[in-house]
Amino acid sequence: MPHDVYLVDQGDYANAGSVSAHIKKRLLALGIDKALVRRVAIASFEAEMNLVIHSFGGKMELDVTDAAITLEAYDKGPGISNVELAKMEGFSTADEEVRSRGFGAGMGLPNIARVSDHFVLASRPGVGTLMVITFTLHPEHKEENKA
Amino acid sequence: MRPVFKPEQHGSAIINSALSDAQTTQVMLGGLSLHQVAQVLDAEVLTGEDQLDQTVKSACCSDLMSDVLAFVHERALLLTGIANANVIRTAQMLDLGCLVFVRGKRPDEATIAMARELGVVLLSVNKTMFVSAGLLYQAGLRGSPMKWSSREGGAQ
Repeated sequence: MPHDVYLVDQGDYANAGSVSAHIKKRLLALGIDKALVRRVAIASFEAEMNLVIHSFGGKMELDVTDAAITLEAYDKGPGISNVELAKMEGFSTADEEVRSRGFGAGMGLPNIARVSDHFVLASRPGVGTLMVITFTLHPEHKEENKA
Repeated sequence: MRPVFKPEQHGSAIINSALSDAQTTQVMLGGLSLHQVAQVLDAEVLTGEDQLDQTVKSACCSDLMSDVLAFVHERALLLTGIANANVIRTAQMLDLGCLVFVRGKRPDEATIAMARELGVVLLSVNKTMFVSAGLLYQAGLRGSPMKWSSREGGAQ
């Protein structure tokens, strides 16, 4: 089963979303249910935008097994000082430039939590942030198992 | 005499002036073709001239892509004042078939080329978001169903 690793660069707005586009294509090619792929794509895109906007650069990993789709996003810092605050809807540290691009509304992390089945975020200021986003795969999520 | 406005006539009565009977029937069945959207908004078609026969059943307005990612639960038309590559990516993630850039905005050529490649129809309109949305509503299009965490809601 696939295990992909992607690099995401800091401030690379021109390519932001290309990793998630690739992940979406990959999952559709595996015959996974479109509605589930849409949920993964939303979480992936938000995580990818977070890396571009807030991090010094990082990586994303896609792991697919029979039981689950797991997305990991981790970066080289700067880390989040108050994770509980960061997870709150509407809270954002993004600047005006990010907002003028249509992001930085403080919806990213809540969105990821909303669409995923399991979401863990660990962060340490000065070190970095790790997100593990999991989607449970049921047999009916495979197109081949649909009646 | 001031005409009595009946909600049940909403979709069909008003658009009769702008659209043909066949088009009216389509609206009543739910949705507008992108050709109709372009016609109602007097829009410039930037990409997808060959895809204008597609139908959209609902629409939403936002300049915040995270709100779009959070709330839009079905293939909908998006009216926005943001014209950059991130918006095209948002459309790709959500399978939005058509983006309408209001206030005369238009993305750069590279972004337009990306949308063309991804099969996203782009329209540019010289109207405000409010007026664009109003015209589409008047033509029979309705709000995309939405749900948000603290408040249950359905947009109509």
